[in-house]
Amino acid sequence: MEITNEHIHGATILTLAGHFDVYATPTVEHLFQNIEAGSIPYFIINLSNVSFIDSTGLATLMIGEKRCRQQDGCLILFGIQKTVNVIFEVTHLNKILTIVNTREEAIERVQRLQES
Amino acid sequence: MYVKRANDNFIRWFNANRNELTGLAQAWLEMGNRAVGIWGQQLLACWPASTWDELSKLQEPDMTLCASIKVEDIVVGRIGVLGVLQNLTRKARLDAETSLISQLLTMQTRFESAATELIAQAQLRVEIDMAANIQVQLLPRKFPQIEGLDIYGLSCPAMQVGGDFYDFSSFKNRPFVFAVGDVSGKGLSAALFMAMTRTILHTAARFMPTIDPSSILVRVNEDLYDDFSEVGMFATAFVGCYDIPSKQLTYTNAGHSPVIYCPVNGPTVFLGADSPPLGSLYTIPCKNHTLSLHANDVLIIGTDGLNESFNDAGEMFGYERLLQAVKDFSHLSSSEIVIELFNTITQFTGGYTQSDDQTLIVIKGVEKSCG
Repeated sequence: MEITNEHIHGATILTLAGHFDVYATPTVEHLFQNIEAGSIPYFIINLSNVSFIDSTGLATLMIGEKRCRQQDGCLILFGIQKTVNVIFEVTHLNKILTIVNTREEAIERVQRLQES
Repeated sequence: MYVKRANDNFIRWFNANRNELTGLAQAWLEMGNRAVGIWGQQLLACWPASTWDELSKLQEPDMTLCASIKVEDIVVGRIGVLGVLQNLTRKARLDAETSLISQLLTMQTRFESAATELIAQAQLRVEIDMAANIQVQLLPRKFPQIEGLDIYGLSCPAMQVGGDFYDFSSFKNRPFVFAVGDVSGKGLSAALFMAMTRTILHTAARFMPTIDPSSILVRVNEDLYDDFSEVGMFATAFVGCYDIPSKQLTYTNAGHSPVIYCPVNGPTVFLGADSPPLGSLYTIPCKNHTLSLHANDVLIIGTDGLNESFNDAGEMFGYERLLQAVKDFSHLSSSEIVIELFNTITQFTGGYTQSDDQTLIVIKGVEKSCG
């Protein structure tokens, strides 16, 4: 799995590509675990190139969401492919995680949170 | 490369046991120009032979050095180096001897490190085997005999231990309750939480005064939420409660899939969840639903390792193929359905190693007899 990250408007945008499964999650989980205490983390995850996610991948996103929420930040997902969206829907995790359609929407959400 | 035979010289030089040496499969590692033999916890090395044939050709060496390999002060093996030093000048012989000693010491250090690692791995394997054995014991070995139902299931962990589970509660004066679940993650961490979840579910089904699936799952979630949340894991779960006289099944689904209902007089459908998994929210919004399990109606509860099986071309088995296979085999008995579904998936994957556990429980309505 390929992972790239960039920093825009105080948010970290992670772009994942390939299968987000048990073999790929440690790197992403490591990023969430290294969120500095006292900082307000804003993570935007680009899933547009992720073709498969398993329960370990879902759990990793939940870890990130919880970690960000605990420090008054947020984790937003965007660009979810149809086949991957089915997995979010059947597990009902789409009701817990923040999911938007585009990168622009995700950045806008973060900016609104930063201003509030 | 494997050791297939041991010649007399080799056995004599290193004081090896011929039966041990020739009777067991022995892995050879190449370390530079040295060939290294390992069997069990005994280690042997020879130099300068890089293959067994070369070693066999080596004439009686006029210098043999041996050293013990120790792990925590216990000798677990021996290594050695051989030298053919005839026809050398005095200086060349001295250099060769120094070189042999130096090589022996280097190899001794490397082997002790490798042996320590090997023994630690062997100990871990024993622990994992024990955990796998305990996990197998936790899953019901017999399927309950419930009037009007034919029940069968199978669980195959991807690693030695896994996070899938199923459970049946059939006690006197209590309705028949069953559960199928899948803890996120793989291996030992998932197995630990699987054991915990299965036990709490079983206790709730056995002792809660009000038995309905959503009350059971809400209660189980409250018990588990802190632990799951702490480590960032969750468990999907499907719980059903069967009423024998009415042949009605009440069920609830917390993020679990695939669940397929195949009634005789109706379309085959997926039964979706109405709540996220256990451990994801402190209070989960579970709801009860009902369906009929009359004769030949079939309910399939699997785990995502089934539909997420991949073949070597990277193609996923998927929900549609699973649905079709269920339709194709729904006329069979529950055990035959389980076997045929697994066969169909195995045929699709072509034996490609799967990374997720696969569990399948089939509950089929029958006229009179049970199981």
